[in-house]
Amino acid sequence: MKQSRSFNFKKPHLGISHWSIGIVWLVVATLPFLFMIFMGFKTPSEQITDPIWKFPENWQISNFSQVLNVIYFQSLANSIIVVVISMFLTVIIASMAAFAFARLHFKLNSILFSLIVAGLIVPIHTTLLPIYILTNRLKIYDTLAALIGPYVAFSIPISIFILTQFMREVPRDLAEAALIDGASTNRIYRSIYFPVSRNAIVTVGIFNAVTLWNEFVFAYVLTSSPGKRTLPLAIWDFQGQYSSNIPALLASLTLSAIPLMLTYFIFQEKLVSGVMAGAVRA
Amino acid sequence: MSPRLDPFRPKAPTLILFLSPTVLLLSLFLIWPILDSFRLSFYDWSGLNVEPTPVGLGNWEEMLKDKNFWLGVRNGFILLLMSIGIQIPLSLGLALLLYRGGQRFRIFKFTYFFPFLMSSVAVGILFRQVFDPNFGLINSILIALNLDALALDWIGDPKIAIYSVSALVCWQYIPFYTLLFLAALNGIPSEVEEAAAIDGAKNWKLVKQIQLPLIRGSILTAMTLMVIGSLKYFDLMWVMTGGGPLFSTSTMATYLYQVAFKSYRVGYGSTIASALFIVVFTMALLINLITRRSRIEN
Repeated sequence: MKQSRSFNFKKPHLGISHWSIGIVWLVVATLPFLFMIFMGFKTPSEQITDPIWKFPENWQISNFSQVLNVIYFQSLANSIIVVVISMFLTVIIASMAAFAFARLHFKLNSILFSLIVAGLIVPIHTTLLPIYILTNRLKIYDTLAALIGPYVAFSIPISIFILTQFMREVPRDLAEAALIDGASTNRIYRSIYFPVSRNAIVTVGIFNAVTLWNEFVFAYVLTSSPGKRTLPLAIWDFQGQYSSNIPALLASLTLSAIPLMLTYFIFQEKLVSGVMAGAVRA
Repeated sequence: MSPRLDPFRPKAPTLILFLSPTVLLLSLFLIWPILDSFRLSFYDWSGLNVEPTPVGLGNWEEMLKDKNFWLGVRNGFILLLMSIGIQIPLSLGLALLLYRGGQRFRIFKFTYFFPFLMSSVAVGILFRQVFDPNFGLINSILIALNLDALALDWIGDPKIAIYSVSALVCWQYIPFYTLLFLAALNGIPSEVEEAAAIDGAKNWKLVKQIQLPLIRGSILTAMTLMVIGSLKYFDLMWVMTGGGPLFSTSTMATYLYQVAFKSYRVGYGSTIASALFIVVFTMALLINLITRRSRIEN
């Protein structure tokens, strides 16, 4: 944060209009969430007969407790497992490649790097059918393992892009002492470039974690049974089951949003800068 | 130091160690699937248990005459135009507002980000209720304000459904672009603004002459992301309407899903997948050329 230096342009006057616009957008951005939470406490008949702003006669906690079943916790666990493993693999694999692109001299360096950057544009839907067929052939359809390959592969281009830019800025003299010691390429990566890039690696990790946490299409196509679904797909399955009980459906949405919201409340700045990383560096 | 020992000019085995995981994964899950999609586009294939039959250019000819495919292309461009027309001005306005407010608007900055943290599935299911013609949030408000004539069937009417869903996509992504522009504004060296302020520039003049020109790069980045993102868009269209009613909200990606996974036409689905790749890649190249020129001119 830049601090004000008693110049008034650093702390400009805020009039009624600034506050009003700010509040109008606050309503636009948050009213649907209030609707979601509030409706989750009604009964299905109240939802149909009462005006939406009427308070429920008895607050229906049962809508929430009904959703907090084995399937919810299984999906939550699935999401955590898939995201953590994918993020971990991505960070290791991408940082090794980024080190090679940033510092190592080899013939295909710039061509290979451009190819990987071009990978940023590939629409995942183009790859959907072949990956679906491959997953079936490998007999891993409807397992968490089926998700990890595509998740890591699609996280790699942006991660390499960000980490390579970061590692190019690492001062070369940092490696000099190690060079005098006769360190190997491996050593220089493990003991210098990887630890020095810690901040960028955390950023990349957050970016991928948030993206994958909410991922829909691969999880939709590559899994099918309730025990193998991630959280977004659990609520997708839910809507079929609770199509006549809208309040319970909305309660399930509230519960599915809690993990990431909680993370945001605790690590606000860190999370935002992670999510922005891809665009700010591009 | 002899070049043989230089760790920055490694021997082949070391290089392979560093690059092979990346090359393997990208070949398996990115490059090969793209090539395979193109290969499969020349076959008629109704599922994993039967043999594909070659049909030459048959699928491609069918696709070029397929009204529903072109609807998907059209809807991609509607989403793109709405994204640029709505998200850029609103995100810029909100970013300038947050920038001006600084710490005083911390609570706005914090809450504006909420929509972006929800998964598309959750946003889609929630807004099916918000848009509901009878029990929904939007129509309840409109009717309470005596604006009954505006209380439409937002996602059930094929004439307006695509605009409703596209507006929702904007709602979900405006937080992202707002904070992107805010980060760019925070990156303007304070000396530049100081000098402009001493010259008497304030409010709109400061915005127009200093702030907007200096974050032009971020605006171009945002537009590039919108072009790529809109044309391949899938999530909310699929969750809210399944591309319907009457394909009115279908995109290339939802149509591809429908053809491949609902009608079990793997070959034809691959043709649409390949077309999607061609469209997105061409547009990305185009916008890269345009923005590169305008970046150099700058």
